[in-house]
Amino acid sequence: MSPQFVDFNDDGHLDIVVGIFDGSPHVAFGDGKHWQQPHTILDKNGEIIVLNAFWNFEEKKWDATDRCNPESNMPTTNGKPAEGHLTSAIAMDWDSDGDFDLVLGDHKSGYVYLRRNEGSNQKPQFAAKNETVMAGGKPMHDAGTVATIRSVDWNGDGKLDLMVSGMGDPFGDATGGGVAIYLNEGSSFGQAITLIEPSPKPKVTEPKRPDVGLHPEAVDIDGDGDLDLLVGGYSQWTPASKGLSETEKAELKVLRSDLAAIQKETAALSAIITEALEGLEGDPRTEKHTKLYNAQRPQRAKLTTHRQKILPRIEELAPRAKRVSFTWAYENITPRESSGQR
Amino acid sequence: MANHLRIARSLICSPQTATPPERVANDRKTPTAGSDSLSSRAIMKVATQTLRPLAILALTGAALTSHAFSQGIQFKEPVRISAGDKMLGMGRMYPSPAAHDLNGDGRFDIVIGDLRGHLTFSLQNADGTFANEQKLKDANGKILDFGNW
Repeated sequence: MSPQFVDFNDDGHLDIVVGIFDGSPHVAFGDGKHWQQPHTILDKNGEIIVLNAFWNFEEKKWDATDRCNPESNMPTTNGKPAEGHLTSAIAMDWDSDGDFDLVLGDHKSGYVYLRRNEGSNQKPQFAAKNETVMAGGKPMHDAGTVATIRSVDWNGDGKLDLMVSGMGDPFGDATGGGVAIYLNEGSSFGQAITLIEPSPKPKVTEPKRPDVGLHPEAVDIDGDGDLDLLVGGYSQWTPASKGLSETEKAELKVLRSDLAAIQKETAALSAIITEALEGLEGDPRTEKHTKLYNAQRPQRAKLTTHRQKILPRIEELAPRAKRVSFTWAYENITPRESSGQR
Repeated sequence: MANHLRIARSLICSPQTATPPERVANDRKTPTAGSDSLSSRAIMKVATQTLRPLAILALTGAALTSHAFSQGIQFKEPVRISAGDKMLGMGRMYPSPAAHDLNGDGRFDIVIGDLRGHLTFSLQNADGTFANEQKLKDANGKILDFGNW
């Protein structure tokens, strides 16, 4: 969820526009001092603005629809219409008609879409269909799937460019996320220009960069007149393990064995409950679960205490891989003649 | 902690004043497209409200020369940003920063959104460091919550 501060309803106060994981854009209106709780931004028919996947609030489940699919230039995956899940949205006057349209980022297949405003900022009438955003004659696409989008005049030519960032492989060893800028060439966008390479996730012993789920913001951090980047995201690394003595190796072996035993015993306790609950539903199931779980509490507490005691030592002897989120600053040091910024 | 960001800046900042996030006059002229169907003027205004005054310099290109664009964009090795005694956005689910001058002191602050739909902010101090993160709340003191699924 990337917040964008923008006067969405044209009342002179900045509002907050976001796309969130439920698959739709939202806005929190501001009064100059505070922001109200957010509202879902609806289209001209009162429908939720989505790509395909969305959280169905009435049925309280994940759902999908193709009612908003573009009527042309529909991106495809293996010959079928690409499935989309909106998790990012920005307001942008796409067609220079004086109102904000919405640009939507797709976390599922990596495309970018436009939802045109046929009304005004005071009375928005968002179209019922998405339009595919094109770049270099093809649908704008991030192979790592879109984490977020930002509009920024990167090269200072008075036209807003689109900055698109990638999620990348969120947990595995495959390529992580990067950041690209698509320059606004007037009637279309050019091809992607890399600002931050997608992370190859090198084996490192300390956090070196955001590797996954990159969420950038362009701002002149150091006041030198060019745009730097703030980037949120997860870093992945494995702390260096020290060389273990034979004694420590033996200790580690015992500790791991103890940990495995704890996990086995915990699983056995859960299995007892699962078996006892078979065939039960509703209140009787809940009551039985509570009764059995309470009876197991002393045993579980003992296991937890034991686990908490040995885990730090295991971590000390053999550090595990880490995946932690931070916010990073990238200082732009491009020589002025090649920066593209004016 | 040595490499955690401490931004040195020469910007002369006004004393902190009360909240209003929008200070710049709104001229709501309809952007004109000319030959460009992707005009940026409306958002440019937003950007100048949001990122002033530093970004104004970048966005207007004041006193800078126009040069041909190439793909040789270079950044220094990134550094993690601290906020007070913690790392900014650390442990949040997919933190997403936005630069915005929340308290109207002329310095951009950092607002962080996350996958859960919560927002925090970290005010920028006069020395370029950032204060501890605080949760962004509505007028009733309730956490601003976008995570309604």
